[in-house]
Amino acid sequence: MTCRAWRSLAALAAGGDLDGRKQRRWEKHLAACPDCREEFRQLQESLARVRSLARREQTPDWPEAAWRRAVNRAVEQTRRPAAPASLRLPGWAWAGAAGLLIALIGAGVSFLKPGRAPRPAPERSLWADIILPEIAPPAPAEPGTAPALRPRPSSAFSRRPAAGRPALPPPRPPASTVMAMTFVSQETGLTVHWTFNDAFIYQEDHK
Amino acid sequence: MDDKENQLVAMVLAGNSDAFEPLVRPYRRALLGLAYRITGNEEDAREAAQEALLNSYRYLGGFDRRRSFRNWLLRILVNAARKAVCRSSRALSLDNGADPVEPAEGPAGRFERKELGLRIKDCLAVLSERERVVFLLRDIEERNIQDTAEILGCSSASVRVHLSRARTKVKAELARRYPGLAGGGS
Repeated sequence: MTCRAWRSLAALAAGGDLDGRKQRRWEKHLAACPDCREEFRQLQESLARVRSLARREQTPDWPEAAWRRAVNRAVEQTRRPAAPASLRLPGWAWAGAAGLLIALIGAGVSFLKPGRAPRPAPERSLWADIILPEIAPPAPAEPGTAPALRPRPSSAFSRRPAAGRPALPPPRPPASTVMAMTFVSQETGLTVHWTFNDAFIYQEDHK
Repeated sequence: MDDKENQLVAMVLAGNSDAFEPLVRPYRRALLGLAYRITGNEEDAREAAQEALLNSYRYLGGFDRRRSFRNWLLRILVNAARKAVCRSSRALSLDNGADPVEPAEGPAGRFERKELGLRIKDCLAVLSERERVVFLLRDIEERNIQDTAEILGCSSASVRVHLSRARTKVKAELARRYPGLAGGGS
């Protein structure tokens, strides 16, 4: 073992932290090596100095009132106010409710996913009803009659604007599926119908 | 753990919160002193000690009664103090933080104590966080290697490695900053 290797043990030896076998070998080397002896002496002295400084330095202490307050705070803060019995539910109930909620959200998301295959288009779409007047203004209606809607010209699906005509918005799959829910009150017979588009997504360019 | 501590732990766990204060009172000064040395200022030290008290009360049910209550408590304290150091940039700064004034202390004693504190902080400033805590526990608080390892939750071999590095660095720093204080003045 070289002196360099021995010196790695010197710091531990200075505080008496070598185990018995290593300590004996260290002492044997120390008796034969003045350089290591000097290093060891310096380590011991610096350690003794720091310990002495630390003993003389007063660390803060709790004033009695502050100590009592700290202990009381620890006890008080750890006590949790018990929930009223009516609100207390077993853990499995909370877990079940959370699972049900996640399943409902998952089912809703998968059902309403916008990337679903388009369904068969109806003969006339809402989009056509709105756009057609822009590209082909209807003839003036006769008094007392509603303006007739014309079928969409095939060029209306082209993204390129025809000469002299404004650009059309890109074509989109026609809104088709309609979902409806009906609520009937058994007591009063009141009936409420809710009808939904299947996209449920607000899209500005529908305007 | 002695019988009295064991009895107090059992009383606290049975719901007698009044038994908590006598359980932790023997470590009252050690809690604040060690926290002060780790954090470097009294404000963070008090905060860490308060958190240690709170966590020790809260998690007393998980304490293994075959082990040392003191080491368990100091372990909680060391973790709280380390967190306080991370939270605060004031750790080990030399001139800020509240000064721990004893009510009866005169100006001369206060100056001397402050000087000593600064010298210790200077020496410890060169250590890594792990080395500093190991050095504080073993060489300043004078716990043995096994206790230090138990408090820090690491092996004795790891403590020895960090301790050896820390002592070597402290010796070099002491010789550099205070040649008159360091042994040999090399």
